[in-house]
Amino acid sequence: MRKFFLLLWGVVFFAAQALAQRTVTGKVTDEQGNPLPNVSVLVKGTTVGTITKADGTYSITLPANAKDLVFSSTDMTPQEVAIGSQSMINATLKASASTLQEVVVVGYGTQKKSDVTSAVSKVGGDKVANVPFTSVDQILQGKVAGLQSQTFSGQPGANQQIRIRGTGSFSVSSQPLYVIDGIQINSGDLSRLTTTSNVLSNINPDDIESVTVLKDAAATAIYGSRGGNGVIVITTKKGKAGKTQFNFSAEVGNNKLGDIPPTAKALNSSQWLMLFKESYINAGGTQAGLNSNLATFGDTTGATDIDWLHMVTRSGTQQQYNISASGGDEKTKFYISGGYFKQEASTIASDLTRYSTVINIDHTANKKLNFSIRLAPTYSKEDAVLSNGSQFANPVLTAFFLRPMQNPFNPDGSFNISSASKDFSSVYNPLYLAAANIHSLSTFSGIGSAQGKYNILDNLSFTSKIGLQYTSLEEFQYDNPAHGDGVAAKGRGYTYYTRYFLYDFVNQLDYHANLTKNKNLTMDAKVATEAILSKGYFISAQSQNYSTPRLPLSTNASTVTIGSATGSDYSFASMFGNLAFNYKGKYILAGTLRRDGSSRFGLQNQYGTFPSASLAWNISKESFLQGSKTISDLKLRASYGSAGNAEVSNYIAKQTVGFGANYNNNPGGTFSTLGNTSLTWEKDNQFDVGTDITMFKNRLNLTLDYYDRVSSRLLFGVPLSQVSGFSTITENVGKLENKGFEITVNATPISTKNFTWDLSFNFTHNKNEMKTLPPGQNQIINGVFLVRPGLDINTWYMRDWAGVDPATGAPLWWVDSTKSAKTSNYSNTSVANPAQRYSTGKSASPKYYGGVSNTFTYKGLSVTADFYYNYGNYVFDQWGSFLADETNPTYGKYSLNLQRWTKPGDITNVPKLYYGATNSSATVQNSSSNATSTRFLYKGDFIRLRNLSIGYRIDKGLASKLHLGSFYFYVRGTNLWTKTYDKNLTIDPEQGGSSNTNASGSYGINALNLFYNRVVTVGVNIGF
Amino acid sequence: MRHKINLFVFLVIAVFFTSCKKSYLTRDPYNAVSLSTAIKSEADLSVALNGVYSQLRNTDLFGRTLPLKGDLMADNVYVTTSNSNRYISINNFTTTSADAYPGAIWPNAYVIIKNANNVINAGLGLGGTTNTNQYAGEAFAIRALMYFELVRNFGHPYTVGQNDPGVSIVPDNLAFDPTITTVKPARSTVKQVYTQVISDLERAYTLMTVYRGTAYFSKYAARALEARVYQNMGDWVNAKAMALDVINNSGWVLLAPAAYVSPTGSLGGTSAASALNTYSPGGYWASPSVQTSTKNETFFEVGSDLLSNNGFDQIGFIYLQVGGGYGDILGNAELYNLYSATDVRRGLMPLAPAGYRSGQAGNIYLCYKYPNPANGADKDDTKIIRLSDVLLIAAEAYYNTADIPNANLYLNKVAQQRDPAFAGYANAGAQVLEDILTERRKELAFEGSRFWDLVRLQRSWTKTRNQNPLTTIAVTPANTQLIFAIPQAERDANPNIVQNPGY
Repeated sequence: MRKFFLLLWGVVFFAAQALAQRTVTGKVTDEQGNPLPNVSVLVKGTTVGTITKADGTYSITLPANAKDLVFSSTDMTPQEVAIGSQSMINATLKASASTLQEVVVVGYGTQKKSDVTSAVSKVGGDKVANVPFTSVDQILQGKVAGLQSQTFSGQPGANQQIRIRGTGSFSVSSQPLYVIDGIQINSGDLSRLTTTSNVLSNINPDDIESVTVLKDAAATAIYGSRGGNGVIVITTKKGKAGKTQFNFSAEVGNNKLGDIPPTAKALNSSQWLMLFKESYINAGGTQAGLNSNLATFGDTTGATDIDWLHMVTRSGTQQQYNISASGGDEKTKFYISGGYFKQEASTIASDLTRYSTVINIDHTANKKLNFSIRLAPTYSKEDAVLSNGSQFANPVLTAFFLRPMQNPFNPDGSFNISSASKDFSSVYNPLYLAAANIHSLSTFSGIGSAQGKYNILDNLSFTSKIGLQYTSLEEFQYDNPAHGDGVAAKGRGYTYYTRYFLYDFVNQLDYHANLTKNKNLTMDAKVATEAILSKGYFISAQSQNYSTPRLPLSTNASTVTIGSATGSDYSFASMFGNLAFNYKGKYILAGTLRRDGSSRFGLQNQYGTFPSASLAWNISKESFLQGSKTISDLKLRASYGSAGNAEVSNYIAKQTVGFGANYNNNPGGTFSTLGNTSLTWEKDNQFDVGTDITMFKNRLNLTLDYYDRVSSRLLFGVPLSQVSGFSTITENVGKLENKGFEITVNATPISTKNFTWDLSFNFTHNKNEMKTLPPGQNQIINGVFLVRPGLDINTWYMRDWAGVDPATGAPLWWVDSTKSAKTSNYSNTSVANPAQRYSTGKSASPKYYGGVSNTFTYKGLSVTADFYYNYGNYVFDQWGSFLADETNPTYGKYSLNLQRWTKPGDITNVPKLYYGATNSSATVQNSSSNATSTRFLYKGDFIRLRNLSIGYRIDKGLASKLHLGSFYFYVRGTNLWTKTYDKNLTIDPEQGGSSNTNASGSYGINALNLFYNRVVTVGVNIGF
Repeated sequence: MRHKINLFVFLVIAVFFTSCKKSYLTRDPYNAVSLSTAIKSEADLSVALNGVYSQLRNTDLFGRTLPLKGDLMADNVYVTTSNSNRYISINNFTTTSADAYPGAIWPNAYVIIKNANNVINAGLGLGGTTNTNQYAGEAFAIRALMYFELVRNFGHPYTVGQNDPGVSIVPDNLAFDPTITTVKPARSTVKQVYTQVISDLERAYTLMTVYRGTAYFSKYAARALEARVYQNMGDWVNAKAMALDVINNSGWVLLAPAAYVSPTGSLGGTSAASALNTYSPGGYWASPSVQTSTKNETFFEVGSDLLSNNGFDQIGFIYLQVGGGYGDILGNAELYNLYSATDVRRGLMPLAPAGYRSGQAGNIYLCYKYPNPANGADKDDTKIIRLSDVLLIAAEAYYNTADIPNANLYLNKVAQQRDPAFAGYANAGAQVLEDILTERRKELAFEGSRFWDLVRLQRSWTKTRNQNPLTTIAVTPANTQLIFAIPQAERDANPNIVQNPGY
């Protein structure tokens, strides 16, 4: 019998031989014996291949010269099997023993993680998908060591402040460069009318395959003049060969107001009136005067008691739905997706809706030629209220500034929009404005690229790629004629159109060579050119005097006040390359070089060169560590190199006369830009040394980095004698340093058959230090900041609060930094001992920050908790000056004021209240009790539970019975819990600041941005 | 192997051929041209001159701060308790070298001088046609106006310390390249600056031959300004000569009382609700537009119109209680009480109904010299110099040259024009000067004039800091706040500048 089969086998074998083709079948399983679908099975050296089915089986017809089969799948170690004469080849794939086998996207290509010589961090697409945040930069918070991400505003679609390894500039942007599928995009806030917006909120995080953060010079220098602040490389999803896979996810929930510190709570009516009366009498007023004064507020008894914070907040809807299909064969692969996202902020009249689509097709025509095309058109609409403190229409401002006796409604239930002094004369009724005004931004974002790759030889390829980014922003603002900012103009409307078109054209040669016969020494080289052109086009129309409040478009207005158009362009032309030598995978020496030219810079300095060199030693491949049970990978690496910061305004170097200074309806021009023909980019030189360790069979991954980043040739406005008609000339002077270390730990402390505990932890310490200022300047006072060599660039500089005099209730400040004497004289230099401003060493920059993430999985059930922490910074409540004390008696007040001094012996931080601060004798300046001082400077330390989710994944067996690939159901809450460390804090510590790209001078200062949201959602994720 | 590397090198060269030409890196702005090509014709010169005029409108200059400061630091107006946090330091006499208001006057005035110099240099080189001479002459007058404002804001009054430090005079040979960092001029004396101002005004008077309306400097506007400069110097012979040249030769006239002010509408009930407020001073002060050919009242005013204005930072909004105004500034009862019931000027300072402003009990006096900030067609213009001012300068010059009859004559030309029922001043002796000052206070209220009268004559006064409860500041000539500190930013960049006493 056995012989028979042998014979039969022989016949089949020879038959196959005779046909010069034969078929091999088999089954691929994992180590536990579970079938593995979608494993690529490829005949080595050819493009012949197939994919395993859902049950793990495959069948492949072999070409004549087939020798080996290669089985590969993501997260699995690829396996090669010699075919020999077998017709059935089963394979068991092991989970990647080492994360170093992973492929990492780096600048202009990918690398095996073990070959990486630079400091890069990868965040997988699974970490960014299905999260109720509007843009990927918000999601990166706490996920990457060395990357600081701050959400300043709860506005859906808000810009995010990102700093990679510290603040690298004083006067230009410190935001990183964003590269999406190889395109150096125009990022950040491109709007001109909207409080805050973000190009990245037009990218559906669900379509992202991976995000790689390039941190050291070895990784960023290849981006030359634009890489200095770090680079965030976003790669979107591509099709995978095999059975078409569908993925559907849905998430619904609501947004509620996050925590507000109790001290920031507003006074109620009776408390407000009590303090008002007390302060009036303290100021020497009479009862009669008080009575007539109180009468101007309408309600003198506190019968009306409005909680304004409650009035301007709500429970907003949160929804997102995504569907994608991915599939194809070895020749043609596709990925298509569609997404819908809607977020209504917890603050009224603020929301974002996004419709996104992606089409991605990749075709391998033959062994030589591969091309791909990607299109991602997205439309989004953002409604954003006017924010920050200069807007009396800002609902966040009104929540604090309105008096509790101001009733937003008339007795008949209609909105109270009276501008009588007791009603809404200066600070407006936010509820009416939310209903009657429009502040919206509609964005169309089209990002697309076409790429062709030709394999000239096996080891030499040429790639040509054109990437396009087209962004059009239609902004509309309508302020109604009945109430608010539009009254003066009898209704005013703004219609702005902004368009940015960018192309990024790269031609690239990649070459791989074995320098020795035994393949022990290999070389990889890349040479390329790149041309980037961005053209901005801006149309602005403003009109006023509207015929009807119902039709806000400008055609309904009687008067057009502005109709203007202008543009702004920049271009970069570059050549670059890299070269890496790899000896047995043990020693890797790499270098990159880029030469950049930019239209932004002066003719004398238009070009620059950016080199880097790096070295890695995979110690674990040395014989003495081979076979180690504990350490599976150990790598040491070091790099040094240079990149730049070119994010200056487009025409800064040119000396020009600008127009638009019109007079009496005739055109006017003024010599407005001094320029500087020798202006060039800021330069970032960075040294990095780090190690990557994998231990205990991938149960523990550890990455440590130390870096020292020196940013020099910083752009400063060098002060001029203003007699010249200019205040500054922009020059490349100045230098600052960021140094610090980063720790990333990914561990699986417990892993049993049913229960797993995954722990991720990252920690960053950054120390920023100003090194050099422009010649002749030993310090720059930048508002409430002091920029001085030796200090952090965001060091606070103000008078130092010394509490309240227990005997008199007078405010006290330290006279000077010796802290030997207190004074109640804030600033009057004509009498003795005015308080001096000095640096107390406190800074708005955190000393430490990072994230901690725990995931517990029991069978299908998983619980994930992501924390973000931030320590060592201080935040400043600049609006405290209005809301504390009775200097501005007509506004709402913090409940902190209840702690005011009332009688000798009182120990408190709130001075005796004076109506209008009228006790302003030469020596006791109560008028200044609320003036800028460290009284309103608070510890910014906090820990926040950024995400808590509980989910259940049904097991594969049940899923397949239901004809599903996978089924995951979850409940999630974001920002559920925050711990702060200053009992007097009146603001959320993360919201102190500005969403500007260049936050120098505003960082850490409360700007009355939108309250952050607490989002609770339920969701489902189905694969089939 | 070798072939492969040769191929690679060949392709590298080929790739570089795809790189771009240098012109790819040339990108020019859409809204600016290079300085060297900016002024090549008479038309270019006119555009450059308009640019200079537009900068006079700056909020920190005639757009708001200068005309406001001259009343706020004197005894005409004060900042209310419930305010938008503007001009507090000026109201309280607590400015420092870091203060934002003087800190902005200084650089912005020099920006105008720089741009005026461009027009003067280019204009004098363009062949001396009627128009190029006119434009250059206007630029001379603007430059004089800026030096005059600088020297009296930052230097001691000429009448007290003509040899004290004034302000810097811009060097002739300024090069706009990186060597500009070495330009650090010291302060010239007050006298030197006044000499420069007079010299510029004389050039302006000679060069200008065209009247282009009140939004532009004209021959007699320059001469009227010169009369004011001599008045501030206490040079009464020249002040009288300049004033009489203007009065006798310019052709300007004062308007009839009803054409000057004739109020309509009402301020509304007990609240400032805009729907109820229909008040307008009417006449000359309600007119939002500049004069293009008539010659009434105003010699020169800085124009604001529907398209070019300071938005909510226009001076009108700081006074206006309704329609988006901040309404921070209220008038003093003492000033109001100077106007008789038959004086039309009382209509520019109406008494508001009680309860008009929250937190502000007592009588609320409003200012209605800038009633049009929210006007849908045009905005208020800032008057720089008017005929009534020149008539009162003439009166003061006659008084100081011991001609009391003529002093009273010119004084009454204003007083009786505004108050037809007034029998006229007929006092003698020192009281005549007091009458002139009172009349100046009434006529020029809210135009930024009062403070300079008090300062140049070294008077002491009581400044209302706050009403209800009332707090005041006793201002004497010794008060160091009477002149502003040189901004710290200037002294940081230019150590040759000495600071004023008291800062």
